[in-house]
Amino acid sequence: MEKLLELDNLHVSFQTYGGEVKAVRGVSFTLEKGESLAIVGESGSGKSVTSKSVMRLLPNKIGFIKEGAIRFQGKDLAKASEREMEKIRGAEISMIFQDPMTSLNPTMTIGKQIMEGLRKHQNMSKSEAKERSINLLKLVGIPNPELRVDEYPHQFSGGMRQRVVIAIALACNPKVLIADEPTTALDVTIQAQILDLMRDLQDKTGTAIILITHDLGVVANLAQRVAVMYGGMIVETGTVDEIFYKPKHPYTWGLLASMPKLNAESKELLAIPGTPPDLMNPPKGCPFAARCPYAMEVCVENMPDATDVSSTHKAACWLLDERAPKVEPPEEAVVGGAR
Amino acid sequence: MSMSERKLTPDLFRPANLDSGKSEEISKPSLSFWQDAFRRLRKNKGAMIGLFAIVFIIVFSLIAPSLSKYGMDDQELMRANLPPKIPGLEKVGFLGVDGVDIRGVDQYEMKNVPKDQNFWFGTDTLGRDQWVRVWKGTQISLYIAFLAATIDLIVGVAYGGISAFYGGRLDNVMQRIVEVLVGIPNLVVIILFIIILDPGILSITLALVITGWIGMSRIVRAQILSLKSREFVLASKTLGSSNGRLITKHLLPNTLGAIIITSTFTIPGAIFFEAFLSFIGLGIQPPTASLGALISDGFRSLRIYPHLAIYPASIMCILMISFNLLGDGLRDALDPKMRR
Amino acid sequence: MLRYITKRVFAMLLTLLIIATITFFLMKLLPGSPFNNQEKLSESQRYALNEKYGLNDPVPVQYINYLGKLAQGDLGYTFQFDGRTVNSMIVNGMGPSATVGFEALLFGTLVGLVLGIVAALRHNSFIDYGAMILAVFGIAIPSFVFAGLLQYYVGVKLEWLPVAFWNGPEYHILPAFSLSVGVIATVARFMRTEMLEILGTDYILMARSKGISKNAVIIKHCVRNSMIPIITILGPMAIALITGSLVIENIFAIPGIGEQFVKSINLNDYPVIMGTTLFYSFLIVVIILIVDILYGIIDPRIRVAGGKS
Repeated sequence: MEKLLELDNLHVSFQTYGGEVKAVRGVSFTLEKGESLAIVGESGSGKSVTSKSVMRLLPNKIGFIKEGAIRFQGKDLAKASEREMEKIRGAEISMIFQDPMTSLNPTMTIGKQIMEGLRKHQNMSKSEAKERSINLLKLVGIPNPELRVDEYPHQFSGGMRQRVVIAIALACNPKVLIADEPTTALDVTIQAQILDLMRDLQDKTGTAIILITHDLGVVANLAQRVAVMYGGMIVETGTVDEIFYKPKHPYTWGLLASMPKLNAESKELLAIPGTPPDLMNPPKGCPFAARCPYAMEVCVENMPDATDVSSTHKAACWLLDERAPKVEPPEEAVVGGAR
Repeated sequence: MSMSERKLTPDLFRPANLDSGKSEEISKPSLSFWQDAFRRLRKNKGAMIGLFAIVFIIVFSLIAPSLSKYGMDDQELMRANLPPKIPGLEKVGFLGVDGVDIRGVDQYEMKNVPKDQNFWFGTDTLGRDQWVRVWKGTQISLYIAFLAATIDLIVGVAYGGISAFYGGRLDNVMQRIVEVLVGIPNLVVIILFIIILDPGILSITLALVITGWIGMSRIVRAQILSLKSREFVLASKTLGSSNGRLITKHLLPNTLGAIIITSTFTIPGAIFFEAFLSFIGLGIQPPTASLGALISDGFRSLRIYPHLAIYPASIMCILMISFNLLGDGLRDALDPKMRR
Repeated sequence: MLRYITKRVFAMLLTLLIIATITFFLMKLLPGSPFNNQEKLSESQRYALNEKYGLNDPVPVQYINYLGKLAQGDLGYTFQFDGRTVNSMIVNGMGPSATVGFEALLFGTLVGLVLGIVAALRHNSFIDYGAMILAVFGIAIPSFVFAGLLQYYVGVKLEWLPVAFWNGPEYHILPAFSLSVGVIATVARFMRTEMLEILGTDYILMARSKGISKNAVIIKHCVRNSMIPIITILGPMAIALITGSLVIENIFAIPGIGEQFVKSINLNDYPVIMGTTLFYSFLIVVIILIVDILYGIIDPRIRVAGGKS
């Protein structure tokens, strides 16, 4: 497979009044052509910041890439000029945001909003762009696209708006689509429709997807590979099967345990006690140590390195060290009874 | 694994006793809403300067007139139109308080004013001490403004509160009335009102209030309406709280911020309108004077005796700016959503 | 939309009727008629004149006649000049008043918009702080104080511009500028807040993620959307301009409606006071109505919602 996007030791910080918030601290992953990768983590884990860094859409002057590279087809986006980025955004990499209610301009017809990117990147005439917009709306499953293309966002329901947002993102056939919590703000029934649509479109267009979510259900639905983020770092990566059936990091166990299951009759949902680390003064050792039920003295002071579990599966945890005691994942973290 | 491994001894791989609660400790002391708001207000430099200037001007307007031996309307044509003279500051040329007029003549010498007589703000065309008149005028302007703001507050809160709290048909009728009143431009109402009542402190205040309370009532109504449907009020109601308790414990305290902000902006508005009325000849009648009346009189002889307008105009500008700064600061501190 | 407009027009007519009624009964309460102050007239002549203008009729009849005349736009006669109508005075004063008001509105809005946009784009910079300090001054300092100071320093001391009167374009600058200060400040503050809010929205991020250049996003999405709510402050701003013009015209001796109005107040010329008051009410009520309708037309969210109901 062909390497499309590669993040190498990315560090992103925010300058605030209180000091520097180190939101992303050394994230590395690769994305291959046509593949879908999910980045999972709780709020504040740095997953959205990572995706915004790839688009270079961090808040001006406050957020900045401190270190590391974002290589897209061999080109380092971390060092690209604003003008170069404009050519990449929308055309090569595009993005879907969490809340479809706020991610469309309320005073512009959706047709115009789809056409904007087309006119910029593909030099289409107005009529060509409009025709393509109608086709795109049809593609994402909006009925009567010829009429709806001239309507305003508030005339669409939430699910329909997210379809429009997807149409905008896919307008120029990008190679990478970053979906930042694309279903969080939607009703459950609509969530499934949107996920189906995204999988469908991926089959048709071959776009690689980076799916950012805190919902493991969404991950199982759409992704092939998963990266679990915590405290601005990736703590575990692997294929969906590896993460769900052979998780190695206690934080992943916690995430899996806190997922509601149908067969667990009387068991309570398990919460992970404590709060995420303060990224203004991040802990020296493992970011999860303070909340980890298996924490060892080594975890507090020393940062664990990523250990290979298999060729596709890596986890950064001291428990994988041969000197550490053998620990079995808790029963609640086991999906479908397989161990 | 990296080189750091070498330093790791096996005994480090024992379970650590970490207090998981530690990560949830809150390091800052918790503040009540008002403490927090006050802290935010204190941080706002503009608002604090404004507050200080307002307090200074209020205190000064009360004590300053007694620093002169003349009264508000002690006329003496022999000493008319004297430029300001402040002993001690005479040498500081750019302040223009050396008793010399714009033509370079020392009016104090020309008019044979005794050496020990100094008029800090000069005198007006009738020889009245401008210092006394300016500060007395400040008093009157502030009095009108505060009175108008207080009446606005009482009427507006009562009307808006009743309308929103009881709701239903009463609210409907009360709001229809407000709608008609809002349509009538306040400029028109104020002018008509003063023409019938003859200008005076009370009639000007009444004219300001007759339209002013509407704004307050609308804000209070909107606030209470939105509070009424909030969960904490519903919860209190479900637990059997009386109307009185709902109003005093839940609705009013949460509306107070908006009320304070609105009142802070009512005051400069009232000062402005009072001055405006003076300008179109409907203001306070002589010998009493407000800031507006003094500025209006001063403008008539601005070319020859600029000091007559400059002092009251400066005080008025400082007051207006201070109240606006304080209002902005209060709004940011109490209700960041109201910004705009 | 049509139903909304009809409802609003009726509400407007009701407001005007109330104002007209108040003015009429006030006129009856106040002493004097157009002819009582002319001592040359004999009793019989005065009676004849009163008869001619219907002043001997019972008050309710006069009220109906008054409303009838008002409906035709007839505001009656002034006390100041023989046989001159209030209408002709308003028409005469209209030119200068409208000119100054319009110049102030245009200049103030343009400068205010630019100032607000620049302040928002350079948020938390010295330009931002400077612009907002200026805005507080502009909002707080009454236009007439500003006018007086300008007249004194620019007109009298520096002699750069004419001190007063209305004899050519250079005479417009000081009064229009004094009037526009409040407009600049209000528009700048409003625009800045609006811009900052929109700059933080997801749809701006979305637009940028399409690869549109920063400037294009700012102009096409941000400025455009920020300007729509500006319409809502046009009403209060027009009222502030009319209020300001009363004094500004007086200070700069501009022969406009405001100057005549103030003169009439000082001369107790009640028909002109009432007539001009009514005229101002009409103007303000109509401006607010137009602004509301305009807002409905320009903002698609309201436009469509209104169209469905």
